[in-house]
Amino acid sequence: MLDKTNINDKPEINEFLREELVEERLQLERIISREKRLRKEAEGLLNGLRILNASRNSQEMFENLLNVLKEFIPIENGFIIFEREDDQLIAGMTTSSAFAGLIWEDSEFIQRILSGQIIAAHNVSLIPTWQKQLEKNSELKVTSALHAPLHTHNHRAILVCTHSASAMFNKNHVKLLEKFSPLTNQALINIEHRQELQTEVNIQTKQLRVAKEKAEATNKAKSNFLANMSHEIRTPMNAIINLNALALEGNLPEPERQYIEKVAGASQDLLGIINEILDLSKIEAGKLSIESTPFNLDSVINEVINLLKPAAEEKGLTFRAKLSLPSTLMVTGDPLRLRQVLTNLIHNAIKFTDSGGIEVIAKAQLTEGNDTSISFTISDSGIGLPASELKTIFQSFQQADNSTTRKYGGTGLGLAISKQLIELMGGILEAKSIQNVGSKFSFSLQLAAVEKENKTPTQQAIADNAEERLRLLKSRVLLVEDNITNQLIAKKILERVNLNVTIASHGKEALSLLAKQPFDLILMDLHMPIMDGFQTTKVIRKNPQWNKLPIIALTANAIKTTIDECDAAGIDAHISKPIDIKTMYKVILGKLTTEEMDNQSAKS
Amino acid sequence: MKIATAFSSNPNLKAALQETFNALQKIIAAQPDLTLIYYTENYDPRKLADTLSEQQANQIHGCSTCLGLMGSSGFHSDDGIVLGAWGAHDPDGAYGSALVAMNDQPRRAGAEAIQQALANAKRAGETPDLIWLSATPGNEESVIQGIQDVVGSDVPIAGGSAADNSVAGNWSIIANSDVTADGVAITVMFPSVKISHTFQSGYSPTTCSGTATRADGRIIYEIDGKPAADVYNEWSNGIINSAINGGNILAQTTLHPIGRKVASIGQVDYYKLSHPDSVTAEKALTLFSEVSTGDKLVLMSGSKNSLIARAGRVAQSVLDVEELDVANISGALVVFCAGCMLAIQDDMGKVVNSINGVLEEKPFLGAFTFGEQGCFVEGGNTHGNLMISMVIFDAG
Repeated sequence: MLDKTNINDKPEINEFLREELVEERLQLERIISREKRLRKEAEGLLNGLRILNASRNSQEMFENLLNVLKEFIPIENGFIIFEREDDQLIAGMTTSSAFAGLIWEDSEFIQRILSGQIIAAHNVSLIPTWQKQLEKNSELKVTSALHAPLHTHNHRAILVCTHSASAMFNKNHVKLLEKFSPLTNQALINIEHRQELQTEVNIQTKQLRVAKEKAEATNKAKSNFLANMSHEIRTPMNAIINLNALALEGNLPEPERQYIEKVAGASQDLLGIINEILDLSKIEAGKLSIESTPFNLDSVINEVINLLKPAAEEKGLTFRAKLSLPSTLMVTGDPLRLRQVLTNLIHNAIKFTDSGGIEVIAKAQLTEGNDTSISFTISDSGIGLPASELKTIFQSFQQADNSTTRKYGGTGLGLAISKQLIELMGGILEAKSIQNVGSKFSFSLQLAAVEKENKTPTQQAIADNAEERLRLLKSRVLLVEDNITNQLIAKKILERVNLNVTIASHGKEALSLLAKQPFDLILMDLHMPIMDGFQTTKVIRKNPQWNKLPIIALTANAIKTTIDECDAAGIDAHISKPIDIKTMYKVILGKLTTEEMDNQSAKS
Repeated sequence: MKIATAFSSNPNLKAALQETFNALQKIIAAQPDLTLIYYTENYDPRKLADTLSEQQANQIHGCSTCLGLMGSSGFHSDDGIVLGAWGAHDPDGAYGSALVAMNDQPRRAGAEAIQQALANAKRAGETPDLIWLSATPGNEESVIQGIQDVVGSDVPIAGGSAADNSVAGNWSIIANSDVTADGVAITVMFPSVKISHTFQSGYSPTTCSGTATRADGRIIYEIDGKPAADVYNEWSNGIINSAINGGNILAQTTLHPIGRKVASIGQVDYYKLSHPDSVTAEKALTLFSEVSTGDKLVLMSGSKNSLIARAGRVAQSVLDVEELDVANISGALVVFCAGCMLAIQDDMGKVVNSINGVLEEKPFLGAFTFGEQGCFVEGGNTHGNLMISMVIFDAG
């Protein structure tokens, strides 16, 4: 601070010099002040560039940009108006949802900004472009605003900083934004770049989604096709197999009996081939699901051995089974599929062995927790395979060579299906083979052990002799089936065991019959005209009088989705077509006796 | 942006206008987008406005000056008759002028004038780079307040109050076709080039200081509880002895105004000045700017030499602080206190030389006013006396 002076004792020249000195000091302080301001701005600019580069996404970058500017400019909110390819002006990045997506009309005001002017507005309500926005959007709390052009190589945009109070922005802020234009433009470049990347990701995601939906639709179509094929093939197969079976029960003269027996054998082979093809298709479509139910492991293995052992013995082969597992061992898994794999492997062993024998080894070993590791080995002294062909035997439609197919028959799908079933059950099917010496197939499964089997007398009885027990019940069965051939087959099978059968051709007729007379059980076809099996079951279940009446579905659609639908509708059990007579009796007896036992329990 | 100035001392209004506009036309080769016209009291402002409006399609801002004008061509004051025009051709900029009568409501007049000027510039709602103000003397502080009510306090206001040759009230202002002897003329500027401005005094504080213990508007009744004229006379070592019981003291006090600290830049204080113009019968001091009770007053001291050198120094300071290259300067506007001019009238040629020395004879127009308005870097818009206000248009 300069010394003040007494005007009385200073000559003019001193006065002038002193004034000059004051002016010089003022000038110096102005320059220092300006330098400080410039340094702060430069630091802000550098800091801004650093923050922009560290931002993780467009929104964060925009907010960081505004935070940098807020150190110099009193900004409440901000947003960017993007000029799109179609010349539409739309608010994109914003700190307030009130501005998001606002469409701005082109105007002389907008064009001035886009062409490079930075415009401060003390009262936006006097600017026509803003007036329209404020009239349309009463939630906008803006009185003053600062508008700056943003440019990239390809696009133009406008940065708008707003404040609810009037006259918050001035020429100094305009100058500042001019200086900060490298920062704001870089922010736009970065934002655009990220948005382009995001757009690209979105496009790719959309393409993937479309591809996925297409694949799913194709898969669904395939699944529907499979269901239809399954239904369409099984229905006539049901007629062929079961009419053959009924014919053979009668007194057929020779050679007709032989012919029919050949037809019966051929139809069983055909059914086997069809089942294999459908299984593989289901596996490939991802539609084959592995069940998880408790079963007696020893029973399943013995069932297969007992079924196939005679065939081996018929060929003069030895058949040895070494089962190192408790006969009461109960595990959780899919007995049907395990049975299928074992049957396929043992059947192959018999088929490709002309001398020597077959050995089946099964071992169970407790592992961690409740799990039981079960290993199976099926070895034979058959034709074996050369090493080069061993690699391909698990591929679909592969046998050792075409001559094998010609000589031994079969689809060549069995091993491929077995391999995939084992994998679906969590194991690996391995093969070793030496040509003209023999083959060995082995696999292990981890299955959870459950409490030991404790068959109830009723279940045991069912398993033992269903046919005889059914004869004694003389139950009344309502058969709901539209196909006349199937009506005939089912009626004949049921009447063989003294069941009293009433036929309804569709659900509506079934409901009508139910209302008139009592029944002990319903056999329900699913696909029928007028009212299908699902709908009919739902109506029955809604009636308290019938809601415990056993309903067994007869389905040619033996896939899981159909079974799930059965469960949802309230169907108690299902029997696949073509009908296996023994299975049918067991299921019917099971439901009739369960019902009977329930009634007895209720009475007691 | 092209700027040109022209002057005429032809007492015939139409001839004077013809001469000046012919000269402008020669230089800028287009009709100016903005014309500032300054004139001495002998020219009838009504006729002036009418004639200008007939000739000029664009914005016109006019204000009367005291005795003369200055430009790069020199100090023009032929028997107190001169008319000068400052024309700017700036098709990429925007300018709007408006005039509102005071009607004893200076604040309202200021607010209305700025709004009308913005509308005339087709920039309603926008914040201008600079506001050029010409008010008739007496209520400039309120006028500034009114302007700031609309655009805020951060928009620089520069200009000077209308003047006449003998403080007889023969001043006037013009905006487009409007004229008044009591009102506010405003021009808002949105130039296509950079504007730099400064507002300074060449005076330094003395050790004599006190507090205005009774003041009202532009009258200080008491300083430190004593009659203001007595205190001032004592501070100034008796320079108003001859009028201590009443009378005009304008000429005596030019080099010894009363200062009030506005702000500090670093360690240096700077002041706005009030020029005592008379002593009342009750020994109060009347001024050309308002003082409030409680204001801290300092006797300031200046010299003729500093007044002569000041304009050039002020111009140089703008160039230094804003780092302007003279080659890029389009022109300038200067408002110089009439009181200062009167004190150094014979040396006004030197004042022009000092400005030309800095601006290298770029066109400028300097008017002599009864009160100056400008914007201190730290202190905002201010009305003061014995000040110099300068605006430089830089295309760099």
